[in-house]
Amino acid sequence: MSENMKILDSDTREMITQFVSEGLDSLDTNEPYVEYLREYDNSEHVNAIFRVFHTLKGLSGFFDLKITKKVTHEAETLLDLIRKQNKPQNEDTITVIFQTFDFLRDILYKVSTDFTDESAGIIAEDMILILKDCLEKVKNPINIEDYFSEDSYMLKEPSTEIVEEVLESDSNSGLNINLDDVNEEVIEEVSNSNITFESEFDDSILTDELLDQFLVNAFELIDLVDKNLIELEKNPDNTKLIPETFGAVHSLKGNSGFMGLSEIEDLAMDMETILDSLRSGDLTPEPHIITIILSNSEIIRNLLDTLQEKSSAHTKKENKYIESPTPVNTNEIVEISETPKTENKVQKSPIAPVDNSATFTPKEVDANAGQHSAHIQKKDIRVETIKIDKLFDLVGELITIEAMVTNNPDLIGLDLPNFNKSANMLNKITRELQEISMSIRMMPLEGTFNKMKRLVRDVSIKMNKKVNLLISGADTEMDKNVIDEIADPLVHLLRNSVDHGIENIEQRIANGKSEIGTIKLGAKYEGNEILITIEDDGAGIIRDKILAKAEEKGILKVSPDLMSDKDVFKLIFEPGFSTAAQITDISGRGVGMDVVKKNIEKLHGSIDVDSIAGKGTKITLRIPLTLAIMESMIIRIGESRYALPILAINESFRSLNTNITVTMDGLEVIKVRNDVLPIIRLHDQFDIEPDSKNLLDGIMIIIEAKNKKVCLFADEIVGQQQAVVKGLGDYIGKVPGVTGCMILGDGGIGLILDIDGLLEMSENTLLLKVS
Amino acid sequence: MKYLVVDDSPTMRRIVINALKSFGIEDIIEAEDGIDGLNKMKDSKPEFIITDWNMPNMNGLEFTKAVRGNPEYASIPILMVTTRGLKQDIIEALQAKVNNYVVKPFTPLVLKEKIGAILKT
Repeated sequence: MSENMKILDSDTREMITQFVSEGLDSLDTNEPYVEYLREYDNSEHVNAIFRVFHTLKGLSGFFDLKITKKVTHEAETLLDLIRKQNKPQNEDTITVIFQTFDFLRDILYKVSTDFTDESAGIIAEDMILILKDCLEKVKNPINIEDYFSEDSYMLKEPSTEIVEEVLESDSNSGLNINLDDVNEEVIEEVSNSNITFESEFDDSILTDELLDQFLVNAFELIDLVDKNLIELEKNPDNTKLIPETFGAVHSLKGNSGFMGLSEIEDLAMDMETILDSLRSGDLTPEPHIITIILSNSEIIRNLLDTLQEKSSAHTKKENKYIESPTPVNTNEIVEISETPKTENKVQKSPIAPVDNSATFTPKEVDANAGQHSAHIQKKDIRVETIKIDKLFDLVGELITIEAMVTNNPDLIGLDLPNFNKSANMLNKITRELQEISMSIRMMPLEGTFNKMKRLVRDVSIKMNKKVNLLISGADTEMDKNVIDEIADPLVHLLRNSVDHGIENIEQRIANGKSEIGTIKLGAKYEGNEILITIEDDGAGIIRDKILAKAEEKGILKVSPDLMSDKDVFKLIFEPGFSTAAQITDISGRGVGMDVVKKNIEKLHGSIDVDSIAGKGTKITLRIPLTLAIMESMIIRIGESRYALPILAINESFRSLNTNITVTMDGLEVIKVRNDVLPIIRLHDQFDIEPDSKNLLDGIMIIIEAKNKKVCLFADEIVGQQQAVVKGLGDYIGKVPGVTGCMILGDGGIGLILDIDGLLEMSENTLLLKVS
Repeated sequence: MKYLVVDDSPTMRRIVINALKSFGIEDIIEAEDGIDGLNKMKDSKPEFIITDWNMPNMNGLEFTKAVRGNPEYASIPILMVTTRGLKQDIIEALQAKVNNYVVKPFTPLVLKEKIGAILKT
């Protein structure tokens, strides 16, 4: 309301004056019709009078004229009943209506001078009682005597009846809501019609913590609503979804009412009305009805987002919580679950270097059917993420210190069997601690994936395409911080798939495809990475089209002949690239896809595009499970030490002269079994003096990523250590070939090598030499 | 984008129009009831309709049905303004294919979001 007043503020007074004169006008114009109520066939006049009250009620809400609103509400109810009865009314009723007209005139006069109707509060109470009596009499004309004998009883009657009515209608349909809730709602309704006003909420009750909890809960509820509605649209017969959805909306309404968030409360009430009509069969779950409810839920989500921004701006202290099975929108949420599942995840989570080749391919589930898992009740507690982050930092420190103790230079040369035994145990415990603390931040992708269903639905309706989204691996878990970062890229990629990938219905039919396009969104573990794939069966990417476009946009850097299909396809992620012949407002502005690339690179991830013209496109995102801790191999070159992610290492060996060849271009390559691999001299790369430049002296390490291999040359392997990855700091910036640094066991600093970067560097050298 | 605001109450029209103007929408035409609305549509084609439910002569529901029944207008988004509590009205309005409805009294924010949500789909 206050917001409303704010906007109107400049001419609120003028508006109210207009409202008063309009109201008085309408009272005067329609007053003569009241006489007609004693006649037969009076419906036209009843409607006119009804409209007087109805309009006044509607307008009074805008000017915060609560008393006018309540009186006109009662009057409207009375007229509605008379309208339904459609029969002559007696003198008493007519008198009451005239009285109401007079009363409203008085109120409007007051409003014209005071700009409020508060002073009419006491007399309004009488007016409302009179109207209620009248309503009863119109309802049960025979029982008039009872009214005189049992005055108070009659006054209570209406509310009891409403309660019964509501209870009856609810139990009839088997709607499963708490009766207490229903009563509350009715009581609220009843008290609204009395002259007691909802007192303004005492701000002190609405603590930030309460608001946070409300938000967390509200997002959960609204997610559930969205999910159920999309499900319902696909399976309109699955009517058991409606009560659950209704229940969620009902709770949301109750909570937001309690928080004094009337806008959300009203929207939730709208949704309730529609859901109730769906339940009773008055409406059917057709797409346009579902769209309306979904729009309302989206509006609520927007309002919640705004609230959340406000609340986090308000509280400097980050009051983040960790929790919830479907955490989705609240960026602040991770989950701690105490189910045995966690333990599996620790094993599964490839941070544990046990089995780095293990991949998990969860079976593909149709998005429609993949609902059951969402309802598993978890035993969880809410913890502020700030505490989890602290724990995580401390574990990181502990791991470093553990390495510093067990690798302490003072111990060199000493024979310490007992110490070593204890050190081994310490090592084992710190690892376990690390795994557990990692698993705390792991969350399933399910929440993010579920949101994509909604997105695909909306975009496909808008584009007038039919798309079925299949989701697999929604239970794949990732570091919460990483999940937050990939939501946006996924949105862009999926929009792009629907917009550019899937052809329109006519084209699909012409190409002999099913008119319903399929997009598969999947996630699975591979090594210490997660692979997220978006695969459509659409038109595919046409190489020449991309190249032509890239040339036109001036973003072609290498001669097209040297570019593989994959390289060409990757051009779509270049800034300023857009192939859509026509710019749509969904995708195709040439922004978005480069943002995808940027976001993924920020996570040290990578993007691959595979596409077959006419068959479809598959985009693969490879994202490290976590950014924080990594099992590493420490190597030495001269005085400097570097760390390599152990999972990237294929093998290491001392080379024999016969394996090494120098090509005509001066490129050193090594033959390992059937592969011929380029050699990267790390001392050249980083410009340091090694022990020896002779390839036969040092050690060869084969690293592999994205199906490419190179051979690194270093002086020696020093050992293996858990690396707590630290950034290089902004003042150093991005260093080619290095992702970050770590603290070594002896307290020194080691640089962590960037495998992808090294592979790219080797390719560039290759290209340079070739050209 | 041209908006048509249909309401028998001048105050209500003003409330809606003021809100629209606060969103930067200037191209607005007004009509007093459904019949007036249909007449106005002949001259200037609106691209978005905001209509009241309860009006004399031709109410919002009849108006919606008339708009939807005319192939020329059928795809124009309609946002209905209504008063809470009349569930049957809401059902009828939804069945008549309004794109969404907003309950009085509404705040400009909610009106804006409702319009935005309709334009998005």
